[in-house]
Amino acid sequence: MKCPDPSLLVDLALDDELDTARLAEFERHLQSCPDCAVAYARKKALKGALCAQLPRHRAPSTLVQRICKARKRFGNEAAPTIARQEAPLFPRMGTLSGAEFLHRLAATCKAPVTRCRAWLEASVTPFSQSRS
Amino acid sequence: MDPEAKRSFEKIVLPHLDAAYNFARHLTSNADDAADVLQEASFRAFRFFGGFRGGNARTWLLTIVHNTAYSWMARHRRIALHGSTKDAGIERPLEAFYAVPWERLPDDPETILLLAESEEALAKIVDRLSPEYREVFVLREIEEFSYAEIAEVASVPIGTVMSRLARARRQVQKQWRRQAELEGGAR
Repeated sequence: MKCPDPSLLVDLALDDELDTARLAEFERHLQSCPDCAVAYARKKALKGALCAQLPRHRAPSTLVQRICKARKRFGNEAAPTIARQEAPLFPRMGTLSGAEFLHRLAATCKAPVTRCRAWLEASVTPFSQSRS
Repeated sequence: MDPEAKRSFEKIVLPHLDAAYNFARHLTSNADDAADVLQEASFRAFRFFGGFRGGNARTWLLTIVHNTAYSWMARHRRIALHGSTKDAGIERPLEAFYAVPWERLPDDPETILLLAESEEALAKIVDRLSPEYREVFVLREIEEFSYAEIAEVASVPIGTVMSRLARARRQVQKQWRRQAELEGGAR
């Protein structure tokens, strides 16, 4: 086995990301390559010391209780925060089928469009009248 | 949701609340924010549990926590997505290339233990990583997720996980070493 990138291989080995065959090959390589063996030992020690010191936070019991209570209370419903966050653009049309949605949308838009059209017609002088 | 599904949720998802909280806590760097994120993520998990088709429940839950945390941070504090600005050097990706070469890492475990004597300092160093580096680092080094699991949680390719992890490690080691030198100099 060559030393393609000892740093990478050492990382993969320490992260348990080498399959059995590659790990066996790597271990054989370590026996014949003092540089990689030293690198492996260093990294292993460093990783062990570092991981031992990394803070592992546990969920506060009050929070766990709150989650369990909320789950019982809301059942399959969305929690209020979720409902607010994922509120549909057209709340009253959320459960309609596609065709029905378009139909309702057209009906909703009809009145404003009609009003706009009337306003435009009233405010813009027709071309034929402006010339006369 | 029927009682059977409720029981399954309790059995399958609740055991991973600690891991989910730890992940949220590291992502938000704040206990109160982590509680908010976990609560919101739990509601989502409960709501979407019907769509869970078995498999790795821990990865499934932490993926929801990941998505919730990022949308939460985008809503509440835009700057968090780009990391802290207190130490400008640490979250610049290119900075990782100037990290301590692995050959220069301490030789013996005793020196390494000396480096590791301040847990609080280490926590601060991890907090100063930008979120995308911090999350792969935390998932690998604390939760011991595989690269594939991290890729799933963070929704990135495995190659990205590997490069982020390598950079995060270099940044942490560099800052850790600098911290130890500072402490050594102060004595």
